[in-house]
Amino acid sequence: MITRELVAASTEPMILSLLSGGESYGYALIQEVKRLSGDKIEWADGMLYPVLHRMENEGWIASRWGEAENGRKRKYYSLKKDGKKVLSDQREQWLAVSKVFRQLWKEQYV
Amino acid sequence: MFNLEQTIADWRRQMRAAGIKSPVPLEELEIHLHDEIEKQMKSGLTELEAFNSGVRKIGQAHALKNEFKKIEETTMMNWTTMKKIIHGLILAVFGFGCLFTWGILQMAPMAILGHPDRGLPGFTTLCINLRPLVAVLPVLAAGYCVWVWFRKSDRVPSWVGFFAAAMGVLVLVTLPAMVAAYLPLLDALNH
Repeated sequence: MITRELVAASTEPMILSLLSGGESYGYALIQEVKRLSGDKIEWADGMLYPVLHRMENEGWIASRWGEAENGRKRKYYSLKKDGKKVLSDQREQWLAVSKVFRQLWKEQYV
Repeated sequence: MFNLEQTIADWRRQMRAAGIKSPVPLEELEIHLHDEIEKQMKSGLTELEAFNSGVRKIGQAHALKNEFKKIEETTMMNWTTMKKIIHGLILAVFGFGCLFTWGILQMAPMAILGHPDRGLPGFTTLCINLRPLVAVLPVLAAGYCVWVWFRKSDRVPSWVGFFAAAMGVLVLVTLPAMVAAYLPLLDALNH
């Protein structure tokens, strides 16, 4: 499992990245991250919503109430223009970190 | 006999009692719980097991409340700062208005320049004598704004009240000043 600190640091860019593919809702976001990480990243379910609300307050994402296939109400989130910019900035930073690690570990282990 | 809907309603009451009062996050959490229960039941758990698992995953109400509280505090802080800025803008407009009024009263005696025998109308003289008041008003408004900006409390007084008071005073001061400046001009034109 990935440490709590790393999960916390990567939550916002992950949400932004997931929403860049189209609108989604809390439960689906959690399931998608779980699937993509091979169950290595597991967000505390309840804690995702305060993060989504904070990002909405920041103006990065927007929300709307809709109806799910089962007729239940559901709150959908989508990426806003400011969110796209933040995602682009964060993407650059994560890629830079990732590049450093790739170089370091390539030099050490290959 | 386990009643899922009743148990979810009880859970919702517990969350509200623990401090998650805002309806939006609570509704979202409840929808999430329903989704999780549905998924767990499809994988073979009973209603009770699925409910317990879902509640455990959502987490403790106390921890959630703290997270939502942090967001509310940030929003409140942003609005507080915004209200302070609005107070500053109103003060600037009020100050400029008072300066304009001062200027009008300063220019009023120019209408009789070269004709000292005519003298100024009584109302104009009264307004010119009351001119220091026009300088005192922005100082009072600035004092109020300093109090608003630097008071310890998180609650900033409404800017609407300050706006209404400032604009009201400005109208009450500027209109007579304009009349006072116009009277000697009218007098000069008549002569």
